[in-house]
Amino acid sequence: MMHQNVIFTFVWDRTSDFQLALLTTYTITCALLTPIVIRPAHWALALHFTHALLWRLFHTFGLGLVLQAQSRSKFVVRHFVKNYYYLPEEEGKAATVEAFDNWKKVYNCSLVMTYGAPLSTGTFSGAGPTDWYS
Amino acid sequence: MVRPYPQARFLERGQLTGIHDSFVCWLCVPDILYPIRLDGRRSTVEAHTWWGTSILTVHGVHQTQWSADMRSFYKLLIALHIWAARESYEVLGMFGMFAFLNPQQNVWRDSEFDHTCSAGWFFGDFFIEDFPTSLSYTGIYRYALHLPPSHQLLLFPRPTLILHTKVPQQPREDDGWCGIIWSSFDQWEQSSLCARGILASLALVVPELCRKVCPLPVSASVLNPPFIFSLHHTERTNG
Repeated sequence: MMHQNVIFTFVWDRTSDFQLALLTTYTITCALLTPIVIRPAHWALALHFTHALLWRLFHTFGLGLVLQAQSRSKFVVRHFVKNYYYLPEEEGKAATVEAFDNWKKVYNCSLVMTYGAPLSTGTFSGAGPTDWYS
Repeated sequence: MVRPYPQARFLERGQLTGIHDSFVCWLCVPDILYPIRLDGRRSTVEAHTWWGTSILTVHGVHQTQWSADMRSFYKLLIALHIWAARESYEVLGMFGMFAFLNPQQNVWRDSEFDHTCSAGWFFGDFFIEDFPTSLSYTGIYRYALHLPPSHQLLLFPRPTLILHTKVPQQPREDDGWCGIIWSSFDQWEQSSLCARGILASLALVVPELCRKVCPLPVSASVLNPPFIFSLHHTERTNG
């Protein structure tokens, strides 16, 4: 439990992990291609900045508000109970399990992309500061 | 004969015919990737010629020196953020990842909680009702405010960084009160606390005040958005 990490508990045959790897691969590929396709480099940088900012806003406000609603009125679990079918004897339990499972995947994906988008921007976009020599 | 660029490049590297061309095409990849490096190097030349001779020297500090200092500062902030995240994770643990999974029987069960962890990286206590809550005073959270006096780090000088306040969560039975210590935008609307937080972040530069105060609230204010950073906190009063 000590050395396990969110990123390093990665299994290929788990669908959410595979989708996350796919998403990361596409992000890196796009970050590599944009300074070639979009020719003024600062336009590519602006695009990457917007991308990273959107992920940050989603992570902060989107998931933050969802978490706040879950804390106040059990918003996520109620949503799953309302919209999906569960067996009557295990309604609340199964809904909680499924809601929490989906929450974990969404939160992990958003966390990875929130930190991965600026990293790929700074690493691959090619628009660095104007004084590399200093 | 002057050939277009890729063909000339192929001839330069030893051209083969037929199906080998499709393999040799891979040799173009460094040339395709070259503009990425070109931007940085061209901007280096531009910096030497244009910015280096410009008037961007303010109070004896050239802009390049300022940029280098700021990048060092950014690196420090990133290291601070990584440190804060690792410390939080050490305390919180990955409760939630294996909360429902009984590893022996490989079935989902609600009684198989990870009792060693207090809250969780994935906010597990927001979802699971009968989670045995406990208060974390260890790790990075020993610097949190609004803790009982027995767990306060310093009585004087008090850490004046008011960035974490208490909001009520869903009350449960036989809990005296149940809440979260976090800084949300609800509490940021309270202007006095916000002003005190800003002033206190300014006070970080005073070395005797920040001697034993960890920089967690600074990282929480600068890098962590207030919604995300939370310290789950419950306490029983009646046994």
